[in-house]
Amino acid sequence: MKKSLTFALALTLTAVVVGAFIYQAWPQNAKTPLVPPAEKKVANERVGEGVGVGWSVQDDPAAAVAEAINMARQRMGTATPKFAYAVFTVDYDPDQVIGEFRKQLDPSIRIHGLTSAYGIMTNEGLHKGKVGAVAIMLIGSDRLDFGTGMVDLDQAKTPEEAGQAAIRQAIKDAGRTEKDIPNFVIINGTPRRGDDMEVLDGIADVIGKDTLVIGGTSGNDTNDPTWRQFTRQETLTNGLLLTAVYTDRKVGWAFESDFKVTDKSGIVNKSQGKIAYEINGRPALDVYNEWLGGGLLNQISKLSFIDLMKVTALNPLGRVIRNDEGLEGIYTIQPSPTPDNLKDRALPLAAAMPQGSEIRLLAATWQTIMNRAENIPRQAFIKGAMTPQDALFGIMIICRGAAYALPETELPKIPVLTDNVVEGMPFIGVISRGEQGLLEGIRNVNANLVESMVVVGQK
Amino acid sequence: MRTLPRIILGATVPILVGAIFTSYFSIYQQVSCARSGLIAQYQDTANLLAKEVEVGYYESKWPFENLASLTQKSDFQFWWIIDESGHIYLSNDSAYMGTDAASYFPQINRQPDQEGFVSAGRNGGGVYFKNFEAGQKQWSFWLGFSLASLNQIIQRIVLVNVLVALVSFLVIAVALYFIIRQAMSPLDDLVRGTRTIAEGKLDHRIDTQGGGEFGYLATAFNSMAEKVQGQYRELEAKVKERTAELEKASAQLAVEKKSALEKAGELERVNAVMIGRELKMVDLKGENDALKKQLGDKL
Repeated sequence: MKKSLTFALALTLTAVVVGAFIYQAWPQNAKTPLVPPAEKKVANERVGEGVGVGWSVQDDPAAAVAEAINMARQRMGTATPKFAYAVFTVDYDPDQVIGEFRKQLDPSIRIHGLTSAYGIMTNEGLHKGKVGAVAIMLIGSDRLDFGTGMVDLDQAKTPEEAGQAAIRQAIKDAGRTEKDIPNFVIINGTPRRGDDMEVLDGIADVIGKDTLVIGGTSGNDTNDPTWRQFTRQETLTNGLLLTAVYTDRKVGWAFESDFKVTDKSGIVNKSQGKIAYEINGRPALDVYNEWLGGGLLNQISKLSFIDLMKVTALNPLGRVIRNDEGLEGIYTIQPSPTPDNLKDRALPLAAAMPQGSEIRLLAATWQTIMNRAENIPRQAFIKGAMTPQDALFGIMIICRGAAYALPETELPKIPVLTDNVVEGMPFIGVISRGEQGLLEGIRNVNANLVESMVVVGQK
Repeated sequence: MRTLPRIILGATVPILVGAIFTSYFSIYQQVSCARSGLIAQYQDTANLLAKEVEVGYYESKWPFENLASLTQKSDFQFWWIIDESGHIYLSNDSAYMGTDAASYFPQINRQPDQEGFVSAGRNGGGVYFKNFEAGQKQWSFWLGFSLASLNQIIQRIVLVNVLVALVSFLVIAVALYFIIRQAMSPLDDLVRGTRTIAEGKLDHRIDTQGGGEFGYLATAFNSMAEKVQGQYRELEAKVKERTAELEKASAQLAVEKKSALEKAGELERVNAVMIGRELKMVDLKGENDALKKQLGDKL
């Protein structure tokens, strides 16, 4: 009995010693974060320069609009706003939000209103609430005149006529005549029709092909027409909304995809609207598939629409255009094939591709898209011969298709990086499905996968 | 037998204690080595990326993809690019961008061209920082890591060391048992031999092949047993001799006794004859007396 007790005690003691040793040496959980949650960012806020940007992510549309307007009013100082660039995401009830904008903004304020896909960007980051986001830029600075014009594309005889009518309305609304060419035009339209180039032709008929028409097409992450274009008076789904801007201040802009041009090129022999049927005399999808190394056809049936967009966003087509003097420019058009195209071998595109177009395969990485967040505003400042401190405000457009190609963590960095470069210059960024801008010396184009920014200086 | 367990216990307890201490210091050494190796890896990575960031600054191209690849590491915590004002210019997590870096790690040296490791958190994690100049501005690249992978390494090291220690201990204990038992077996023979001899089997002898002290003892034991057996034999012989003498004397005594008995019988027979005669004589005398009486009467 005594012998057994001694043995049990010795065994227990040994187990305790070994156990204590293992416990002591066993590492503790190291997953504890090294840093606490982020502190609130100190925004590069500028106040009292006659321009203010406000935003809100409140669930209630009325409260969200009120918060955004109040924030913008506080930031713009004592100036009286005369123009509102009003944006909301497609997740809200559009009529409710638009109604609140009209109700809460003084009737004297012109409204250029549009929807944004996914979220809205400002100096303080990417805003995307539980329901959605609302943002507004109020401009009350002197030496700036605005005139808005909007037409229903479905009601116009031709897209060219729609363009002409909208720009004429905008010029008239600004109290100017057609002889007074605006410094630039802010454009917003429907993503549905694919006749944006014709619309731009119509605008060019009135103000010339060298006037900057910059903006983006409304859009969302589905093909449901939840997008809107709206002014003080009217709301449209298939509208063309233009704002003619007159100023004696400096204006700078950038409109870039920044993609590399590869050695793969061809001629679109057969196309209609946004669908290319033949490239180099062969089915367009087969040629594009070969250009991408031959793996695309397998992916078309396996990948989701969004995942497929991620692939094509980094390998778009570049359409080559030239002016009368032979000056060459390339703008990006994103292919968006679907499983149906495995039968007809056609290649649907996110922008129109006229028959006979000369195309090149472009290539990029998501790093390229991220770096545009700083490079685009820098280019805009250079173009406008101004420093960030000289700038009054900016309007930025980012393509949703390009954003698809970014890892989930990266998109929110874009407005922060932009804010780092613009050093607090108020800006508002819209996420679009098709971007319009000027290939300098050639013409305004409707492209995809582009980031653009227009900045107006203080001087 | 109690000696064997005592010897084994006395030998294994120090071995166990030694194994624990050896394992502890071995683990400490291995963990230190692994930790230094991991920190060195992060240092190399941070230096490489800081260089890429510096080059990227001049080319207006941040190396987003290489920076993003850092986040795949299991023990990655964060990377920050700090601008001249001390704000986080770029981070893996956009929530930290624009915030004051020093508010998280005030101990990090922001002097130009400095680099180093600042320990933070548990299990040796921390921040490797590298300060550099680009575009006439001071920048700093910070790479935070928890050394979570060191945890796995430590766990492996602890388990392997404890297992090795336990197996070694068991092997040593079992080996000791057999060695000691082997060494102690002559003693067992001695004990058994003593018992056997005590039982009277004086011809029992012990194996003396082992040599050593136990061999000497066995030889001495056998010698002692030999002597005891010899003395016993002598004693036994003397007993036999005495017994024979006694038996001879006894036989003679028996013969003499028989002779005496025979003589006594003869005497008894003579005596009986004599007594018979005597009795006859008495009878005759009686008859004589009766006759005399009769005769007297008649006479």
